Amino acid sequence: MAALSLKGSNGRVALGRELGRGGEGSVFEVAGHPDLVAKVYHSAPSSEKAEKLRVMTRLAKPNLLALTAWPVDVLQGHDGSVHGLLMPKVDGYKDIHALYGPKSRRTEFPEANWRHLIRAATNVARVFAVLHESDCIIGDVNHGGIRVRSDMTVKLIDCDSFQVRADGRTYFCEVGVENFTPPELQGRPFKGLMRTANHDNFGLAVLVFYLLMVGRHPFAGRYGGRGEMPIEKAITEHRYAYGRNARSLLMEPPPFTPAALAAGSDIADLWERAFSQQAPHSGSRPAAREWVARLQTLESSAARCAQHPGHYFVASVGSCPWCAIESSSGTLLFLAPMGTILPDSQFNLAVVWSRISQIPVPGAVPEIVLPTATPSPQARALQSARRGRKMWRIAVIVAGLIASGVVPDLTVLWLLVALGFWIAIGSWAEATDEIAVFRRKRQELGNALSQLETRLRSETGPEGFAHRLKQLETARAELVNLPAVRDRQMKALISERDRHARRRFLERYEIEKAKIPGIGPAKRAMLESYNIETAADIVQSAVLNVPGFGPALFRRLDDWKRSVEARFKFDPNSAVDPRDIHELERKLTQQRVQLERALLQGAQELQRVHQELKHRRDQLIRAAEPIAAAYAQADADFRHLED
Amino acid sequence: MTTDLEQVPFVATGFIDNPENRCPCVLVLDTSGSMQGRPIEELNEGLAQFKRELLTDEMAAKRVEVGIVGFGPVQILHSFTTPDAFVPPTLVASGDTPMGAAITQAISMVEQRKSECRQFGIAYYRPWIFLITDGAPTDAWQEAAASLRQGQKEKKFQFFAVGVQGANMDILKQIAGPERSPLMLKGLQFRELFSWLSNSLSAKSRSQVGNEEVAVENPASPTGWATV
Repeated sequence: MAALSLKGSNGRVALGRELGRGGEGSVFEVAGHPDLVAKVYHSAPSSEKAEKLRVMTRLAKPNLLALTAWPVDVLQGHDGSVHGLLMPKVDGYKDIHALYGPKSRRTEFPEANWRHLIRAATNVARVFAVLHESDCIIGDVNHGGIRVRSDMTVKLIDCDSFQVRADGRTYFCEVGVENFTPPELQGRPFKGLMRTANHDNFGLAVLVFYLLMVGRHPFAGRYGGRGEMPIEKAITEHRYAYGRNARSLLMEPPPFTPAALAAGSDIADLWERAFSQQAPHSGSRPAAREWVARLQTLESSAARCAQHPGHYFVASVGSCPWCAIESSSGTLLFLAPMGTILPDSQFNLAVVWSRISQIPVPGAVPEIVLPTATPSPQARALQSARRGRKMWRIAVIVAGLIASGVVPDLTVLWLLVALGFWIAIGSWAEATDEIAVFRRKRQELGNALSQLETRLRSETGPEGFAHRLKQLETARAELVNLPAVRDRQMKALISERDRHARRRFLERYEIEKAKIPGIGPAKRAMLESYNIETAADIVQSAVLNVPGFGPALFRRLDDWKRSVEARFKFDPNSAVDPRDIHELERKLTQQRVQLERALLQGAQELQRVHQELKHRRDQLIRAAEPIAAAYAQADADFRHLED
Repeated sequence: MTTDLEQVPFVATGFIDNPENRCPCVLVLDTSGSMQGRPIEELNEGLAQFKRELLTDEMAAKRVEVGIVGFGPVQILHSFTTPDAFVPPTLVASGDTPMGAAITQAISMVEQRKSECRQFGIAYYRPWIFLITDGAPTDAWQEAAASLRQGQKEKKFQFFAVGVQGANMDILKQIAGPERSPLMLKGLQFRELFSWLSNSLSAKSRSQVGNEEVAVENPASPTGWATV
């Protein structure tokens, strides 16, 4: 794809690094435009889609561009066919599911508490409102199309699938994700289907639910009827698991989840309306603006829990729902905050480091302890029965032998021998069968136990913690060493005055303004798009990297560079260029800020790792206890029987 | 809601931590003696790559669950886990080929996982049972084949069979039944196979409707890893 020659409305577009690859196309950097990215389709879109993209670029307005990756230009091949589009780069954002899933939240958004989730939900509703008011329907609402930043502002991507309207014509959205599709559209083909704001508002209600209800889907519940109840079926049949009528629909919320009322009765009402049986027909699902208003009220009423500084909840629900779930299930929904990140000027290495060193270092992986056990009454009973049978067997055989000596009648003898074998084999088979049951039990429990041991070792080893601590130690050492680095680099600047001055001199000569034979406006534009702008940028490897530039053209550029350079004279008494000093200081400051931030965030991260590790160990050990006890018993029984 | 006295099974914590829909896939792998040498090495390498590729899709990393049943002898080598906690086992080839018992084990694993999901209100996609073998069953497989057919008809799971050089494709065809013909692996292209499997599971766990372009490529195409 990158080999394709593409042009936008302002001439050729040079693609840079590939940033990502999806089912439909790939996304690339755009040379010379760090704020844009290019999406190039794997195969050229239909003429209808091409027309839609053109229309969308005309509709691009500042309010849409601020909230979405809206197409700003189409990319055409040499024959004028559309192959892709240009759109604003959405940098520093993560998929919204990384925020609402408890496990990913702990690593991706460690500081986010329930108020953050409400804020993100409000911002999602705001984007929906702006789009709907611009006569634009999202259609394919889903967890990957909405991205969120650590300040909880959100942006929508994949805009080329939106349903848009222009000049009396509608361009449809032909895709959708089942979990966000309203009941009236479930199972229907999306091609040529007119989507409405009421359809979008179902997806919005689901998204708000995911965020406020710690990653749960409103239609994923425990189903009391026969057969399976996948989400799309539950949606079609209006079986909202947290609804007021859930019981009559044979649905029940899953265990260890908050009730819908945990989000306050206002929000619970909105969900009831969005998921009701009437909603598809009356078009009465709560609109985005209504969500914004109610969510704002909810956020302002959320208060901190007295027991846990990371928990926020609405006082009207009584007790903290997160405490209830965390203490009954033994998982962490929200992390306790480490304190806010200080502004740079207040950074105090000693304080931060003491905070880091206070976090306890986890020891070796705990051992699963086997309790002592004595053989059970069943095993004892079986063993003595076996002994009894063994004696009986010997007795029968001995009796048979004696009988054969005493009674010469062969018939009686054979009868006795057969009887002896019958008893011997029968009791042997019976006993082996019973022992096998014990052996199997011991083996099964042993397997379960060793699986837990493996998990303990692989999931709760101290290495991750040690590795992070080591990284922090390195960062600290680097920070302490920064003044020495500055000293060294200043000395280097003084000794390299000549080279720096030469570069400054060359930078003053722009290729744009020079007359170089063979380098016309098109070639100049090409060079520029590869950031080759002045005589200083003319370096063989860089020039040869530009499409269309070979050794011959490079020589012409190089000749020109040499002619410029010939005019440069170095004054050995000159001072170091203040711009070089400024640049050095800027770099050092940047480095310092980065290290300080790494230490602050690292402290928080380490605290999280510590909390999680401890939790996980407790969990696994707790899970192992009953199995270890059962194994010890099974082992004692088996050994007893083996004797 | 939960009362303090309700029992908390260990499996629950995984579901609270990550309540996303689950997409279980159990690999039923032939580890019998005939796999010794390069085949088992390539298979091991394929498994490691499988994990790496699943982790590149953030959603698949939360939704796909991998389990492994090895046969020769039949044993659960890995219970269902999401890719982040998946530790690809190093398979060792030995023993005979009790394929029937391995399939039965896989079916019961899938059913158990589904019932755990139902109990905890976690949605799931139809599980996949993915068999790879280079031989012919050394046990009675007819009953397992019947369970496979029944289960597929009732949409309980989907079954895929892949034969490696030396596999008895006639029996494999009878085991797979009319739903889906078994595929023959080209050479030892395990890496290509697992790359395809990872892509397929990613696409499945996205459950997007209406976009044919994300439909997974045909493994039996000239550039694919299999022949029919």
